[in-house]
Amino acid sequence: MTPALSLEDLLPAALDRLADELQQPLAPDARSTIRRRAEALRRRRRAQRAVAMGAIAAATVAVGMWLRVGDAVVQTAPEATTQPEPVLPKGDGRLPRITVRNDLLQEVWRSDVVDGRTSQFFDQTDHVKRPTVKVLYGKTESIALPFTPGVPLEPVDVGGVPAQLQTGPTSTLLAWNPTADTTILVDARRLSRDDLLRFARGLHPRAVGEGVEARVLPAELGEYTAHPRQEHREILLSPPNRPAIQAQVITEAGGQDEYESLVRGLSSDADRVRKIRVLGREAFAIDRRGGRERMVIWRHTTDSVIWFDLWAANNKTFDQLTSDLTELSEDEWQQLGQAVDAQPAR
Amino acid sequence: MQERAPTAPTDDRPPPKARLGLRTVTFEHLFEEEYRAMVRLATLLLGRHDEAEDAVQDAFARVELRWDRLDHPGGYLRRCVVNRAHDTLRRRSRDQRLVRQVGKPVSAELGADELSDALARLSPKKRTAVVLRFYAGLNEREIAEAMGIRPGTVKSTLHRALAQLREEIER
Repeated sequence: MTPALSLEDLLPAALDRLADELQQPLAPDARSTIRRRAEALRRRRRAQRAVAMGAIAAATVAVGMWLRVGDAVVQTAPEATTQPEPVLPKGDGRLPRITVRNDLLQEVWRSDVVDGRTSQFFDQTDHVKRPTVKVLYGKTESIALPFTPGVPLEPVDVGGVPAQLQTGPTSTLLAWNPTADTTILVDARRLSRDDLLRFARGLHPRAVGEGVEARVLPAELGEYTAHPRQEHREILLSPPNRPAIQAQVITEAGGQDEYESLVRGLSSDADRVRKIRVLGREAFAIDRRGGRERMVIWRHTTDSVIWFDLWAANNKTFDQLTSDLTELSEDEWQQLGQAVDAQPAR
Repeated sequence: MQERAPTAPTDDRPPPKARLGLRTVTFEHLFEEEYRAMVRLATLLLGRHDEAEDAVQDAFARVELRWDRLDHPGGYLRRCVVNRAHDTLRRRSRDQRLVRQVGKPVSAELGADELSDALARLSPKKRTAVVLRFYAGLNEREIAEAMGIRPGTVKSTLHRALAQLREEIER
């Protein structure tokens, strides 16, 4: 009798077959795309170098002026700049509870510890009462459906296609397959069931990766404009000319390796990376997408990494919100979570 | 000790470079030889061909930019591909932020491929370790280099990843 093969034995051939299945024809113009990207990177680095040189020159002048102010200042300066980096607090195996306390933002959603991470989402407070609709469209295997286990799924019809609708305490989810291998997922908040279905039936998918066209906007979203975000295959309905500020706090288990990997990955296409201090720790601030997205990443304890992500925030707001990050006790965290869950859906 | 290739190119193309001391390769050779393989690798990491090709093109652009400073362009390329794939996964993870609370999928096709489904449920780090070990055939040291982590971390990550894979597949 042949002994059963282990997973380790099966994986190489299975992964090879999977790669064959997923493989599609290569882009014919890949080489020229790479050349263009390399040139764009080269230009960006030249620009960053020029900015850095300018900053160094300005700092040199500033330090020169500062040193001439008086002996007292000169004597205190070296002490201030040679302060040793505080040792990180030792982690106790639990993820720290971090939130942002600011009237501008309100926590609207959270995922407690799942696979070693917690996430919280914040919307701009004056947008929280307005309807928000997010649409994800892409290959079925790339879209995980966030249905809450145990909450019933209602079968509905979207343009002749069977769909599933789940009404949760804070949002209503609707998912269907417009074609055999694609999925559309709509996450609607503060929108009635009928409005959501009308909106969904007016969605027309373009090619995969190019988003969907929203032909029917609910009455309350009439003033809104759909912004297709191709890289995310997502449409976020938000007011024209005034995108809402959104934020996310992610807390992950991890040490220096995970931290470095995260910073390296996120800064690889950054517009600007700088060091700042957050909650008494050294952090990296990373600006991306022409400043539309700003992040701060830091090691909070020896076994945790925090990632604060902000969209549509200007420099002043970013500085303010970063300084409003707060660590909570477990009790405060639970109370806040109950308040978030209590926010009504329509 | 690696042989340094002759430099002083006469045009804009990156200069040729010695690889593994065996023969001289240019960036064009690297592209010809590795592009398809890297796209396959990234496709397994990301589960999507279009995102994979985008990540690989970006990685090649970074290699081209640093070509004259790289002693091991192949290794650097692999690391860039892994980093770009991680970046894409993290963005995706943030956008589909409830991904780990997934219930049963709408389409029966989603569950058709057990491995694909199980891989998609691994964290980016675990998935990368599994693909580099069992698809690319790298050893722990090479995986550590490609992922920018310690070899000891590779070992424990692989152990946890296989345990989770087993559980997902048996579910």
